[in-house]
Amino acid sequence: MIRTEEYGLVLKEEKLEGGRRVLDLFWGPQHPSSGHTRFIVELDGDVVVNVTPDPGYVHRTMEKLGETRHWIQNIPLFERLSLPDAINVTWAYAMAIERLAKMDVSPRAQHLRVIMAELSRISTHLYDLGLHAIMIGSSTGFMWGFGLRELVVQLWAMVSGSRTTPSWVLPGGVRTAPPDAFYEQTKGFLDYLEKKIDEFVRLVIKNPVGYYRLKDVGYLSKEDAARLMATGPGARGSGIDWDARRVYKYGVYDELEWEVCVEDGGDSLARTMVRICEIGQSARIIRQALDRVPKDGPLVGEAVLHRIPPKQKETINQIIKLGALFTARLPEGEGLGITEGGRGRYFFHVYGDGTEKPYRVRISTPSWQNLRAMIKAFIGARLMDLPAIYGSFGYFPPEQDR
Amino acid sequence: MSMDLSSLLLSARLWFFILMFAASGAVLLTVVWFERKAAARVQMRVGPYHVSPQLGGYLQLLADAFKFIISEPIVPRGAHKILFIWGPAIFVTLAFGASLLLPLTPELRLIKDSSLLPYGLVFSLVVLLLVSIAVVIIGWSVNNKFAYIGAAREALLVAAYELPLILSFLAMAILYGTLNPIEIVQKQTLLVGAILNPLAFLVFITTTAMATARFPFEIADYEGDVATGPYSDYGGIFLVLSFAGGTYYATFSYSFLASLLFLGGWALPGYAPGPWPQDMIGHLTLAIWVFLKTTVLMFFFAFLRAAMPVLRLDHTLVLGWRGLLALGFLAVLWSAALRLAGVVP
Repeated sequence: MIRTEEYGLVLKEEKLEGGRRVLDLFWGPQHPSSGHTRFIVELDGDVVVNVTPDPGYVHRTMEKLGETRHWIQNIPLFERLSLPDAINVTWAYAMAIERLAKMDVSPRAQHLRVIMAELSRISTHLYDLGLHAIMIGSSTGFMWGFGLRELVVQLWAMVSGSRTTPSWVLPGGVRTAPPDAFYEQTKGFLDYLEKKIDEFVRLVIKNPVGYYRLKDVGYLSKEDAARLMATGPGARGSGIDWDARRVYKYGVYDELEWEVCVEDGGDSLARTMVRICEIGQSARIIRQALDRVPKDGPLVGEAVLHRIPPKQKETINQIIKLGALFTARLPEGEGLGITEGGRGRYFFHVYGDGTEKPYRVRISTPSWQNLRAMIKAFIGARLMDLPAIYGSFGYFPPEQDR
Repeated sequence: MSMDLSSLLLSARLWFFILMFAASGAVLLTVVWFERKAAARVQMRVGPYHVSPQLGGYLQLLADAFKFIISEPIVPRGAHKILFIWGPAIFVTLAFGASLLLPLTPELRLIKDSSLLPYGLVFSLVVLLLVSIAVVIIGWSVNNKFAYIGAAREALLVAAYELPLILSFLAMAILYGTLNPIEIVQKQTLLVGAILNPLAFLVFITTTAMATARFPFEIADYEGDVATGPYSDYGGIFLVLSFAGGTYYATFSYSFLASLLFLGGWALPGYAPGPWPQDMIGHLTLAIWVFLKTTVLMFFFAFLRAAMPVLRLDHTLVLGWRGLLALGFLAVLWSAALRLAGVVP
């Protein structure tokens, strides 16, 4: 009845160097945990011997689109690189424009940006921790991560009017001022968050099953992490003490007390613990910034302020209308913007040519930078470890493909 | 003629059959509802409540089953048609059929000849172990690499859990000195098997979780890397019979077996039911008592989903071959020691 010679197991066995036979598995782009990237995984038994990434399934020509729009319209566009980390992405773009067009930032906006950027970091970490949890099979960790992130997006909605797409950072400052309730509710949220993150660690990471899913899995040595230019938790989990917030001293980070979280393990557990630690440090930064932020004052710096018509100047402490900025052109020149997002370093390089559209926008995102390091960590792992390693890097295809 | 009809209507076999089908359905409904509601409670959610909001979403599973049954059954082009279609049917038949070989009360049973009851007990375990063959058949017939890897994993897992499971079963057989389920239950009137030999109980529960793909052993059908493995191309009625419903029937049968072997079955101290048709109420009460124990065990397995991630395949194999196998041998030794010391009833 069953003729095996007609019915094969579609196993494509290839002869590699050294006579090793492998099974190649097309992991993605339609797969529960591959995201929108295809990984061509070569398996020797249960062990991964090679992984070839095939990115580009969610390439949205962000850089090219950036050349076709007014520079102010690029903010909502680039935000879509990574919606969980919207503030840090737009801050990097705004920073590039500020340097290009010589705009200054008001002190109030600097503090507000730090608060919102740290909320954005928490949001990204919760997003990644939640997805990592469901990838290793813990649906409870998934729900907790996203349940907590729901509170962050509600805080964002209070400030910007939008839950996931704030479009809030402007070159020169920020768009809206938070209501008074925001300051109190953020403090309450941070208290609840720290309590709940402890529970998350106990339930998912310190759970014996979860612990051994992460411990000694996907090892990336410090040398490899540096050589392959890993960034964010991918680098700090391997013992590289680097953080753009400390190196470039943007915002008011150098005035606040906080530490860079570094773990020496180099495995999935270390990268996850970096994330957990950074949530705590972000809470620490936000608490300090909330105490120091000026409750009143213009939301944008002088350079933008003098473009705003007198009637709208009455509300510059609450909201900035963008109409006036549409007449502003970019000077000839170039500007760089670098911020530390939840997943690593965001880099924007904007060239101006005297028109209102950028001549060229070059973007480097952390997921793209981490890809090679992640592939390195994949090799030698077991098939079941792929999701555990993938999640530990917080790899995010829409951000990677730009 | 009327005598014949009434004796037919009151026959223990018929009542056993109907009870098993009706009660297993009710138990499954309750367990799945509990699984969803308990997980939702842990996970800051509400859980099902749109279908039958007055009952707390209790009937959601019926709506899900109805949806699955009316959806189009799709057979992938490269699949082996016969095995693809019959695989789930074999799965659920084996998974549920095993429990039909066990008695529900001393009288309510399918095997009429009481000298054959020991064979029924052993045979039910054999049938349950055959379920994994059905999983391998399913994985092979789908003709898909993910399903194939899942089937290979299932085969590896069977090798790891089968021996400890049989050892824990053997330990209880040595402890009671019999394989007759009615005698086994009688001997647990005062002290249940789980207390007499906790090691065997632990091994049995762990291997049951492995055999029925409960968390943290949802490895063959792990969603993270093989996308539900053997069942990755299944949908509609096939999915209900295998992954979405069949595994629960397997859990039910294992739990039923465990409630007889370890939790004292229908035994109530100082109570013995009368003969079947006369003392119907007594027998039905005892049957409910057995189902209650089964349900509580299944609640435990269902709740694991909310608490556990998935264990690694290699660690699971190590657990089976080193930990559980050693514990199984220890359980057998413990039973033999109790028997030699004459502690056992």
